Amino acid sequence: MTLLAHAIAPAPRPSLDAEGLRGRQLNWSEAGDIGLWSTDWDPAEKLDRGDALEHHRLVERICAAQPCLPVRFGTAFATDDAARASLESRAQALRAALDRVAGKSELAVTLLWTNNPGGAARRPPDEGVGPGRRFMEERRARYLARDTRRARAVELVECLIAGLSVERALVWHDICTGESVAVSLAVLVPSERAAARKTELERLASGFDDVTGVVNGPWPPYSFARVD
Amino acid sequence: MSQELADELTELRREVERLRGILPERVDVDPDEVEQGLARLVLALVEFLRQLLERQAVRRMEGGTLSDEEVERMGLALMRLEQKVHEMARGFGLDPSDLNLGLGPLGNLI
Amino acid sequence: MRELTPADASLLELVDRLLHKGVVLAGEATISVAGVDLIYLGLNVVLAAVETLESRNGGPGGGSPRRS
Repeated sequence: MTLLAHAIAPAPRPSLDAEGLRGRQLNWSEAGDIGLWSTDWDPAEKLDRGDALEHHRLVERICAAQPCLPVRFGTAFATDDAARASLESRAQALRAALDRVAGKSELAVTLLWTNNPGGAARRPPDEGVGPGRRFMEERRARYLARDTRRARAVELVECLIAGLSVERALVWHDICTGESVAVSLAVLVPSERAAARKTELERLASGFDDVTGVVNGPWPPYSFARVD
Repeated sequence: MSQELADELTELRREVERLRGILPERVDVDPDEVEQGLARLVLALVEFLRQLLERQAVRRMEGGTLSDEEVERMGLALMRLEQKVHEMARGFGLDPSDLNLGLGPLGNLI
Repeated sequence: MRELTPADASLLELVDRLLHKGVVLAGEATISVAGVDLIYLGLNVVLAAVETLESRNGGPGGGSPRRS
């Protein structure tokens, strides 16, 4: 049996009325002043999307009760000792990370392009233009459209950050992460203000003509849990 | 090295770093999946370089120093290159869109 | 590729966080997640090669500031 990790929290073991994934045993492995929540798991068994979502619900419950650092889904330890050793080796960094996210939640905003760039009017092929040249012209138009979109996505990020007026350390973002996605952004906010901040974000995200805004959360601080 | 090339390299590094964050420390899968996974990696890199080549070619064309015939030949060569890479992808059971590093493995989960 | 609906986007954002974010603990194994292609081997080699190329060029971005 291995331990499938969910989240890290400060010791002592918080009281938590919950089961592990698929109703299995939920464990607490403690080292010093931090601990790891995990489920007993058979390593031969593959995880599926349902398990990922159940892991998320469990992490939400853990984070509701105390500061917590979500652990990347799929992380497993062979034994309780291995889990504790891992915690010990990064104890200081993990504690610092817990302090950073204590009392905070993550809001996620996604900006989706509303129009399809390929839908731009196609010039009818010129008479006497060879296939090679036609190809080159099509590619030129494609790369121009991509560059234009990238530049616009950068602008959109700056607008969001300016509108939120938070320090940049509390914001993570990425642009053009897929065909439809202009911006993917995460912001760390005090949990007690999460609802109000979410409304602000929704308003900001809906203020653009060329993208549709989707706001999610409050979620556990997934994007801010990295420990280097 | 030109600025554009440097920018493309930065982009590649970002994509590779993102993918590296996705990598598990231990891979525990059956042999067929490994082969396809390797093919995907190699072809994704080839595809990235191919697109880089295309961009450079477009810039040259915009520079106005190429004859019509040269543009035509360049276009045909690049078209064939794209066909070839996409053919290879399909040979491994991959859709050409699977080769875009930016999307990563998430497409499957929607 | 089909257009993403807001519901798709929400799921995408969540799953992205579950699989790619959160604490990465050293020295642990990872259980493969069915349906997700996790097999990219040798990326560290590629990364090292890219970094070498960049350092010869005077650092990331060719030595000039680049907006990210």
